[in-house]
Amino acid sequence: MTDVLVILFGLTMLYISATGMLGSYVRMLTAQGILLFLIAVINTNEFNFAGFVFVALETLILKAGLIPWFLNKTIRDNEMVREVEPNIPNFFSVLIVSLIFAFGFVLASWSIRAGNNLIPLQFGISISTMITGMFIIITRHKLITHVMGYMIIENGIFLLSLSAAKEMPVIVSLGVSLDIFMGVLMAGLFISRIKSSFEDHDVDTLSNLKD
Amino acid sequence: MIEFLLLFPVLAFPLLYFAKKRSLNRVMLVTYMLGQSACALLLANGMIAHLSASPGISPFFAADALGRLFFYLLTILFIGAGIAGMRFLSRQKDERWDTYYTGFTMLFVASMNGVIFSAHLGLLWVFIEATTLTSAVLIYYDRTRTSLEAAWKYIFVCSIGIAFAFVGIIMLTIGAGGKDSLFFADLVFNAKTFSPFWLKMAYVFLLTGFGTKVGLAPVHAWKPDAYSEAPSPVAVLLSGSLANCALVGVIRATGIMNSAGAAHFAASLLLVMGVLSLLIAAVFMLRVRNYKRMLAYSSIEHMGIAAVGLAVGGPAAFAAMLHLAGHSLVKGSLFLTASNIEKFTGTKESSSVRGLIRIDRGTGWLWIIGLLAITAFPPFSTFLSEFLLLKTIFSKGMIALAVAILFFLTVILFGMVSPIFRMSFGTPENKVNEATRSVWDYLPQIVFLCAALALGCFVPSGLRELLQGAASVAGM
Repeated sequence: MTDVLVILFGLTMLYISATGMLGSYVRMLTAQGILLFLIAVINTNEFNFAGFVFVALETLILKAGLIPWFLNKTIRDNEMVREVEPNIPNFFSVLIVSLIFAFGFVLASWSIRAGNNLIPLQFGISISTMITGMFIIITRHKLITHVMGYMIIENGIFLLSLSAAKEMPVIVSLGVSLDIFMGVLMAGLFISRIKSSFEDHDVDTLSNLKD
Repeated sequence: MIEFLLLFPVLAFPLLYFAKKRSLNRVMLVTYMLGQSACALLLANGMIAHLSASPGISPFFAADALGRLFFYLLTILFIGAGIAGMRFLSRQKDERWDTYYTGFTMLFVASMNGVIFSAHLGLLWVFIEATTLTSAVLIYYDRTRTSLEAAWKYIFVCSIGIAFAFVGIIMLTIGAGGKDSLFFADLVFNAKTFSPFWLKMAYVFLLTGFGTKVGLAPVHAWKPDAYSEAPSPVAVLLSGSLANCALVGVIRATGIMNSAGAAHFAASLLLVMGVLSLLIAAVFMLRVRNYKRMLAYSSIEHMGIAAVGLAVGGPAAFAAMLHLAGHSLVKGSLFLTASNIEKFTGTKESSSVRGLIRIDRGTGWLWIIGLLAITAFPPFSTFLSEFLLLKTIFSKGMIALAVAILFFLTVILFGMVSPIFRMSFGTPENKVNEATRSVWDYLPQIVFLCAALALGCFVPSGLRELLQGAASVAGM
């Protein structure tokens, strides 16, 4: 059952690589949050009820609720709609992310043969998600897209921690704090109104400091 | 004790935030400084058996030799940075940001205390995250476009680094094969039974992640921007303590690798990053036009030397610890002097500053003596540690490495001496700000430099044991 959810999770990556609309990025992040919530709930290794509730609620509230809401608010306030043409045209973007996706499956099958105590498909897809997140950061211009790329990396790390959760359930809770970190960061940016950090939407303007 | 160190700033921050009074800020900051000094003295006299009174928290914090060494350094630097910070704030007009500066400085020091004393890998990671968040606000203090850019780069690069470090922790648990404890004592004890492949993968990610916060090349990109844009008293803490705290993570991870028998692997990675840091520092030192960025590249260089020392092992690891101690003190004094230079000249460009000795004799001479100390002239302790490091490298037969290090150090020496001499001598060209002078503008840096000098002449046996104990945590 979770295999289907994990595959859907990987498919959101393909969609992100293809689209140019910032709203779609956020919608995919919300979808990823919901999928992770379902995976966490179905595959839970937490024997402690309070810990289970904590992880489940955090996933839903932060990943699928608060952080996409912050991002949407920033996008609306700054009237950004679409990402400018990235460094690599969208076609090649989709191609490369498909290759990364395939690499994830290769990793999954390696994991089965190597006999680790992991959930193979989750492991493979999580690594490929992290690589895709980095790819998004490298090839996109807007700062807000960089933040979303970082969220994608975080989602991948969360999935990785879920796949390793048989070993150590507490690791998932630790990974949760990474999300809280991001949430605190965005709250801080909001509350002190440093929206100007996204005003000059382009990362190319961040090149004043250099030698 | 640890409750005071961690909770006092957390509880004081709302108080400061709602009151927004300068006098309250000063009182709270001085209280925390005195409290931390008292803790350091108690710890040094061996009067503290357990860091925490409550049994629930107690296993999570421990004060081994590494922790004690870096705690003493942090306390000394905090006193200097606190005094300079108060002098700095007295020249600023914005009272809201006076409160933010004080509050976040205390939270920053608290999170560094947490990193130093953590006995649990996960807790260490959380505290390093906290240092990123709290120091980012401090870097943004000037509220200019460039400081925003610096703060953004800092947060972003360090967040990605932290995420990598977390991946390393996950891989460590994958390789742990059922022994689910992230306490360092347990990790070191069980390391031999870990799967070697996952252990090595974990180390790569942990080194990259924590190395980002240390500022080792190739993940050093945030350092020059952050150090040049942050107010100089903040840069004292960033360069002198934050790098050390992140290095605590690297050293403990190396200790785990060593007890698993994979010391050679860890050593080669540390060596590559260390030499790369020296190379980057040498290359950029020749081009840099901003004297605070120059100090940042110097930090990268010295962290590279420490990494090389840890990699080589044996007496070189001891030298690396001594080097970290000396570097913290000297870099702290350099940034405190830079604070004075900024006060008098109002600029960060090296070429705009001339004739410092004539503008203000104390600042000018402290700048030159600081230069001598950071470029490892005898009898400063940096000379002693670098000499010991190179001696060990020669005695192990790694001649090429020693020659490379010496070459890079020479280039860096040239790159630092020309701007600093040009800044200090000559006649002042541009308008000089009229500013109040007080003994507190000079006393901390003089104390730091004297301490570095004393350390270079004589290492007391207690301190030598502490340094040896710290080096043995890495176990190389």
